[in-house]
Amino acid sequence: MSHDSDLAQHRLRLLQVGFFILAALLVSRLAQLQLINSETLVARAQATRRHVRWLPAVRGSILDRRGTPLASSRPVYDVVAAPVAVDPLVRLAASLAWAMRRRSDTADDRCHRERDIYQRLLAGEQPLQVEVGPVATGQLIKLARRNDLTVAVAAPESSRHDPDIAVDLEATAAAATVLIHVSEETLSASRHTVEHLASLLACESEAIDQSLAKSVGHGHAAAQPGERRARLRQRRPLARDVGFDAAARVEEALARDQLAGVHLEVRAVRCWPLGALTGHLVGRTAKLNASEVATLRSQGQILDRSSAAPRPLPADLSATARTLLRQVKARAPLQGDRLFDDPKGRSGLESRLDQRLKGTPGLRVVERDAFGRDHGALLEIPPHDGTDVRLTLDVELQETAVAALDEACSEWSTPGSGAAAAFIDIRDGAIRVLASAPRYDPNHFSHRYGDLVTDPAKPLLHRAVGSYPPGSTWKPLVGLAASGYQIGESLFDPDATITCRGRYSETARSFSCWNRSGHGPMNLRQAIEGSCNIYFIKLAERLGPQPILALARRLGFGASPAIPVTGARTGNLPDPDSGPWWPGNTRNLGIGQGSLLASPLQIAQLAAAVARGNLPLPLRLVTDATPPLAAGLESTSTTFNPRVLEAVRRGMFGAAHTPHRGTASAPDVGLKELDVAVKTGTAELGRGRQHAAWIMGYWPATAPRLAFAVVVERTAGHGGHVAGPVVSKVLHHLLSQEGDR
Amino acid sequence: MTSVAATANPTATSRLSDLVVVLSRGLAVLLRPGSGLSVVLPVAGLLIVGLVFIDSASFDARSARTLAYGKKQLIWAVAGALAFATACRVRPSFLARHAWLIYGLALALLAAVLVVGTRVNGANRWIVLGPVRITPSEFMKLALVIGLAGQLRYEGERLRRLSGLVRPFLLTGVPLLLVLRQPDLGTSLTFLPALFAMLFVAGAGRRPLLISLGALAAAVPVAWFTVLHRYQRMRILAFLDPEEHALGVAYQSIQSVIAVGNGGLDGCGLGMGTMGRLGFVPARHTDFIFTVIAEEGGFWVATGVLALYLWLLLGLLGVALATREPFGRLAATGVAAILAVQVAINVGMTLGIAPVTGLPLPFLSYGGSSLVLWCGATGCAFGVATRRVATFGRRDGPPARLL
Repeated sequence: MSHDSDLAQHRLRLLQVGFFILAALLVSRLAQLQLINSETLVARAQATRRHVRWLPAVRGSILDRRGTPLASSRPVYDVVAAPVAVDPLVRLAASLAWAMRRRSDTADDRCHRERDIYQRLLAGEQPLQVEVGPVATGQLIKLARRNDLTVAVAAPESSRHDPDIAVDLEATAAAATVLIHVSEETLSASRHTVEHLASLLACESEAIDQSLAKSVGHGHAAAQPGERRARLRQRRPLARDVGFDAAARVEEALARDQLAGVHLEVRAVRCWPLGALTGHLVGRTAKLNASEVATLRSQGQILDRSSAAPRPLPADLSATARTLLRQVKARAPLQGDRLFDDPKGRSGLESRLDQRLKGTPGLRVVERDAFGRDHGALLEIPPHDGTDVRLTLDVELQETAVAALDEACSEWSTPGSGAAAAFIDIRDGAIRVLASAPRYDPNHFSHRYGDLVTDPAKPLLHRAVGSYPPGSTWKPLVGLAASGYQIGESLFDPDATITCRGRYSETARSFSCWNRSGHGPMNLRQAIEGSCNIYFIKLAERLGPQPILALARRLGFGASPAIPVTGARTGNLPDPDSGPWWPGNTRNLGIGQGSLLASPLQIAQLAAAVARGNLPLPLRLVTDATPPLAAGLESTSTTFNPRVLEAVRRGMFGAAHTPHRGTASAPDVGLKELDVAVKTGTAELGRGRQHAAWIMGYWPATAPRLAFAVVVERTAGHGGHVAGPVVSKVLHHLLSQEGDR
Repeated sequence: MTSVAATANPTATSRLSDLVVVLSRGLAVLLRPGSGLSVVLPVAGLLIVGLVFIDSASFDARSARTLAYGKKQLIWAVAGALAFATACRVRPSFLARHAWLIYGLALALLAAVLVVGTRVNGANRWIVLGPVRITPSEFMKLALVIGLAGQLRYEGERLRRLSGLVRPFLLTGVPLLLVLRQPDLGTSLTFLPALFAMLFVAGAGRRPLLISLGALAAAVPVAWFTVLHRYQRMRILAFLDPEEHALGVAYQSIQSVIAVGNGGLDGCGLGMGTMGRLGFVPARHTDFIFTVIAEEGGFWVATGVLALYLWLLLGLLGVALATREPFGRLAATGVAAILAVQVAINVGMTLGIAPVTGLPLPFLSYGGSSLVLWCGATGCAFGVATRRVATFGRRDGPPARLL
C-alpha cells in the first residue's frame, strides 16, 4: 500500500509538471499573439472592419445664359445588399460550389457553378444532387456539419433553430453523388427578405430574384485567395432607380430595423433636359469602361483600395485622420481623382470641361460588421461638388434656329442631309446659337447608337463646326483682303469697276458667273450686292493668293475654334507653297470654291469682322471664361481701309434690301424688313446640282450686335432662299424677345 | 523621528505583524495540497469570469440586439453551484460501489443516441426529451472516469503486466468507438488522455504503458486504411488542412487569432472587443468565449484565466495527492486529465494552434449541461478532499462539511 502510494505520489507530481508545461505552452502562444505579433494583428483587425466609403461628388450643371439647365444631375435611389445577407441560399451555394471546385477551374467556371447551384436551390430541387470529386466529399460533410455558419448568419429567424442540412453519401471509388437536403424552414426563410422587399417596391419578386441571381458568383475573377468572404459581402444592386416613393418605403422599413443587410443608396444620374436641342454642344457622359479603368488605375487616377500611387493628403487633415487613412490604405481625394463609377464626359462640353464639372469625391471611413452594416463614421471628408458652367448660349434662340433649320432641310434638301447655324454676339464674342441638324439626344445615346451610326444623315456630325466650301460668302473676305494692297500702279480702289460678261475663259478652264448674261461693269459694292463671280475672280487674279490667305488665317480659317467643342473641323485653306499651283486655284480662291473649306462658325466670324470693321473678338462659349482683352487686340490689329469696308457693308446691306439685284432681297426670304446686312452663297458640293446654300451677315446693319452664318446642305435652291428664312426667324424671335422686355 | 515613533508604539507594530503572520499561515493551511479551497476557489473564479464575459458577448451583431445569454447563464451558474454542493455530499464510496452502474447507464445512453438521437449539423449527438436536450457523450466523460477508477483500484499488481491493461482499454474503447460513430472526434479525443493519466497514477508498469502507447500509434495508420470509411479519412484530412476551408472552419480560426491579437496587452475593454462585437468571431459566447476574454481583457486577464485553470488542475491533483483512498485519487486524476485536454484543445483552437472542434471551454462557455456536469465533477473531487482523513481505514466518512 505504501509503495503504491509513493509511486502514485511520484507520478502525480510528474502530471503536475505536465500541466505546468501545458499552461506555459498556451501562455507563450498567447504572448506571441498579444505581445509580439500584436501590431500586425491589430492592423489586420482594423483592415477587416474599417472600410472606406467614397462619397461621390455631384457633377456640375451646364446652364445657358439665363440659367436654363442643359445638363444636370438627378438623384436616383438604388436598393443594394450583400447577396448573402438577403438570402441564406447564396452562402450555401457559394459553400457548395467551393467544395466542388476543381484545380482546372477558371473564374468563369466557378461563377457558373455557383449560379447553377443557386438556381437549383431556388427552384426548390430536393434533394439537391451534385456530382463531386473524391476530395470534395469529405469537405461536403465538414460543410454540412459546420453549416451553422450558413444558417446562423443568413437567417435571423431560423438561427435559433438547428440548421437542418443533412448530407447522404453514396461513396464510390472515384467520385460521389451527394444528396443535399435543405430544410423547408431554411427555404422559406430564404424568401422572406426578397418578398418583403418586393412588396415595398411594388414589383414582382422575380425581378429581385433576377438581380440576386446575377450577383451570385460575382467577383470570382477579382477575388484574392483570402477575399472569398469579402466577395460575398460586397454590396450589389437589387433594384435600380426605384423611384422616390418606393425609396421612402424602404427607408421606413430600414428605420424599423427590418430588411437586415439591405441598404438604400442614392446616386446621381446625368440627364440632359433639353435632349437633342443642344446635344452636339453639350455632349454626353458614360461610365468608364474596363480598359479605361485599368489605365486610370495604373496611373493612380482611380480611387479605390487598390490605388497604389501615394498622394499628398490635404493640409488641414488632423494627425489622427492621417493615421486612419494610412491604416485603411486609402488616400485623400485630390483634384484629378475620380471614382470608377463616376460618369466621364465623352463628347462636347461634358468632355472638354470634365475636370471642372466632375468635382472631387469625398470619403468616409466606417466600421463595417460581418454582415455588411456600417457603424458610425470614424472620419469624413466631404466631397467637393463639381462647378456649374454657364454658357453664353441662348436656348430660346437656339430652339428657333433648330426649328428653322429642320424646316429648311425638309423643304429644300435632299433627304439625308443636314444644316447648321451659328450666331455670335460681336460685342464680346459670345456664341448665342450653335445649332446643327439633324441632331441626337444624349439621353438615349447608348441604346440608339447603332441607328445613329448607320443613319445616312449622320446625326452625330456637329455641322456648325463642320467643313463646307464657303462659296460666295467668301467674297467679302476677298474684298477686305484687297484693301490697302497695290493693284497695278495704284492702291485698290473699291469704286473702280470690273466688267462682267457672264463668262471668263482666259485659260483652258472657263469660269462663268451665275448671271449668264453678265452683270456688266461693277464696283466692289455692286459685286457683293449681286454676288458677281467674275469681279472676284479678276480681283483675286490681280491680288494673288497670299493676301487673301493671310487675312483668312488671321480670321481663324484653317484652325480649330478656340472653344470647348468636340468634333470641330479646322476647315481647309489651300497652300500655294505645297504642290502645283495653277491660276485656276487663285480664281477659285476668289469665289470660295476649290479646296477651300470653312465651318459656319468661321464664316460667322468673317461676318463679325465685317460688322466690327476689325478682327473679330475671340469666341466665347463659357461665360466665366477669361474675358477677351478687346482693347489690346484692337490696338494691335490693323483696321481695314474705311472705303473698302464701307463698300463691303453697303454691298451686304444691298444684298438684303436692293430689289431684284440683291441676292437675298426677295420678299419670301423675309430679310427685307430687317435692318440686316447679308451675303449669300451657293457653293458647289462636288459634282452635279448639289449645293450648299449659305447666308452670312450681321444685324442690325447700322449698329451691329449679331454676326451669323447658316448653311443648308445639298439643296437645289439658291442660298438666300434656302438659308435666309432661318436668319429671319431667329432675328424676329430676338426682336420679340427684346420687345417683351 | 521615525525610530522614535516606531518605538513609541511598539504594540501596534507587533499586532500588525502578528496579523500578517496569522493570515499568511491561515492561507497556507487553506491552500495546502489537498485542501478543498484549491478546487472551490478557482471554480468560483471561473464561474464569475464566465458570467462577466458571456454577458459581454451577449450582443448579437446579426440582429443588433443584446440577447439574454448573461441572465440565462446566471441561472445555470446557480444550478451549477447546487450541483457542486450536491456532488460534494455524495460519498466517494457510494460512487465507487455504483461505478459499474453509472458507467453502464452512460454507455446505454450513448448507444441509444445512435438509434433515437437527433441529427444536428450532420452529427448524431443529442437525445431530445421534450424541452431538455441531453448530450450523452458529455456524461460519458464523467462516467468513464468513475468506471475506470472503480476498475483500476482493484487491478493493483496486474497493471504491471501488459495483460492487465486489456480491461481498462476495453472500458475506454467501447464508448470511444460509439462517440466516434456519432461522429464527434473532439469528445473522443479527451477519452484516451484520461485513460493514460489514470493508468499512470494507478501504477501501471512503464513497459506496458509504452507498449500500449506504441501500439496505439501503430494502430492509427492501420485504422486509417482498414477501419475508417473513405469519408472519415477525408474528414480527418480536412482537419489537418484548415487552409482548404478558408470559407468555413479556418475562417473562424483566422478571425479568432486576429481578435486575440487585437486585444494586445491591455485588451479592448469589456464589451468593446470590435472583432466580436461586429460579428467577425462566430459562436463567441460558446466555443470562442476565450477569444472574447483575450480580446476584451487583454493578455493579463487571459493569462489570469489560464492561471485559474492551472490552479484548479493542481488543486485536483492535490486532492489526488492528499487522499489515501485509491478510488478518489484515480477519479480526481481522471477529471483533471479530461479538463486539461479540453481546455488545451479549446484554447488552442482560439489561438490557432489546434483544429476547430466543437468542444466547449469548461465553466466559461455558455451552455447549461456542460456547466452543471463540470461543477458536479469538481464537486465530487471536493467531496474526496473533505473526506480524505476520515475515509482512511473506514468505509464511509462523516457527512461532508464545507472546509
